[in-house]
Amino acid sequence: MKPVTTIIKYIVSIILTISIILFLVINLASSTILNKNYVLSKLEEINYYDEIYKQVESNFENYIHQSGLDESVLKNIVSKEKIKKDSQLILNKLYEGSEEEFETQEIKDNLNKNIENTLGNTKLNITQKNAINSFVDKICEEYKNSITYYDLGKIHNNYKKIVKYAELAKKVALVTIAVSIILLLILNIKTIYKAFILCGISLTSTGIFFIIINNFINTKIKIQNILILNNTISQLIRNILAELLKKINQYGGILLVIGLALIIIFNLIHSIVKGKNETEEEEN
Amino acid sequence: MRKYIGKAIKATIINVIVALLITIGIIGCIYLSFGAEIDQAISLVNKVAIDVENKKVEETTINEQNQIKNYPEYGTQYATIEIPKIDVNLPVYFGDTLEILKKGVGHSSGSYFPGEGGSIIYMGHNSTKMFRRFSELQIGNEITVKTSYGEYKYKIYDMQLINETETEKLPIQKEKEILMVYTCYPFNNIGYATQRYVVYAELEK
Repeated sequence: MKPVTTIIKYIVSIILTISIILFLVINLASSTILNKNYVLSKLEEINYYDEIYKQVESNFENYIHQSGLDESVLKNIVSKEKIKKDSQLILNKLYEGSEEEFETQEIKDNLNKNIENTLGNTKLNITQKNAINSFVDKICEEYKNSITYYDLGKIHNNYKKIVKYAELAKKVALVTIAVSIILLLILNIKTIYKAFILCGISLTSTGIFFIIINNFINTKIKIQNILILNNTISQLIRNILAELLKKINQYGGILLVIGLALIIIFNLIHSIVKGKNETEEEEN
Repeated sequence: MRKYIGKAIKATIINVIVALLITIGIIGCIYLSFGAEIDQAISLVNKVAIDVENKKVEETTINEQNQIKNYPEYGTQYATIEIPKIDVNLPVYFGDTLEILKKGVGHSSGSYFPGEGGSIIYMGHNSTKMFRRFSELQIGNEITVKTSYGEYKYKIYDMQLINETETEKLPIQKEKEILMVYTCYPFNNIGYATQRYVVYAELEK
């Protein structure tokens, strides 16, 4: 019977390890990439709005050379406040499924006003008026393209699914952790410290797992070289990934220390108790 | 006490080995189940993780019997275009993004390179610094393209006004070396131009 019990104990220990890994990974994702406030704080950290503002201006300039208009027509057509407001709108669309649309009327009005000021009393024919309208529309379209990247509605639907499954998996992991610990305590009811040693093994395994994963990702991927879409977005992705890996490493280190401490302390207790019992038996 | 510590250390070592085996087992299971997906994800991320500082220096572009070797990198300048008739001397970049056109003349990435014997498509803005004076060009005028691997002289044989969607007027072929340079039309337009003024030139023998 004893070998069967021992195997069951180790199986429970493995299940406990997997549950802790699952719980911590989901917890990490929920508090970082799946959390709107975390992403907002990261945007502030890299001066996202200022960088996007510069980029939007630069993208506008691409159209000015072929427009025949003076570069000054692009001056102050979009404000940093608008970029900040629209960036937050993107996050609302992404995380909350907001249906609010980007407003470009302000840009249109400012641009038309600037063009009018530049042209002064120049009489325009219908073709020229149409060309100016096309130019204004192109600039508004360029603004939208500069601040949004993908189909936000589609991403939100996937986000909703991920959050739903993550919440479910988190609950399952928590219940499994509780049941596994109770089972280990029941299976080691006579020598309760063995239950703590097995918990220590699970925590140590989880710690080693996280450390290995961190090292694996760091050796396989050069995070600091990631370049997606533009420098601002790339910096944001790099910062988030670097912080995630740092947290994974921290989790690994803490769990490894706690696990080893549990194993050492309770093995020592086990050894002393066993030794004393043997001495008593010998004396009797 | 020393005896107890010795036994505890021995048991601890065994437990740590067990913990290690459990970790290896879990990693092994994950890799067996999702190995292909993990490898795919890593290679996908590595495609956009470019080490710019340690990037290998590209070898110089050369032309060996109409066969270009070591094509220039996208976005880099590899030639200059000279049109003496309208005082044009501009850098030519490989690529046709708006960012490239801000710097100089763009080379459509789908077309051939000078010296390859096919269609070469160049484009530039109609600003005063670029191709504003295209209307002054006439049949017989010369266009010189100086690349890092050779100098090519072309003679203008046609000029056409096309719509921006008429891509068939800029055919890609490899039977004859033709240089097609276009800019937005009207040259002094205001707003967004939907027409293009194309200059066709053939390689001088």
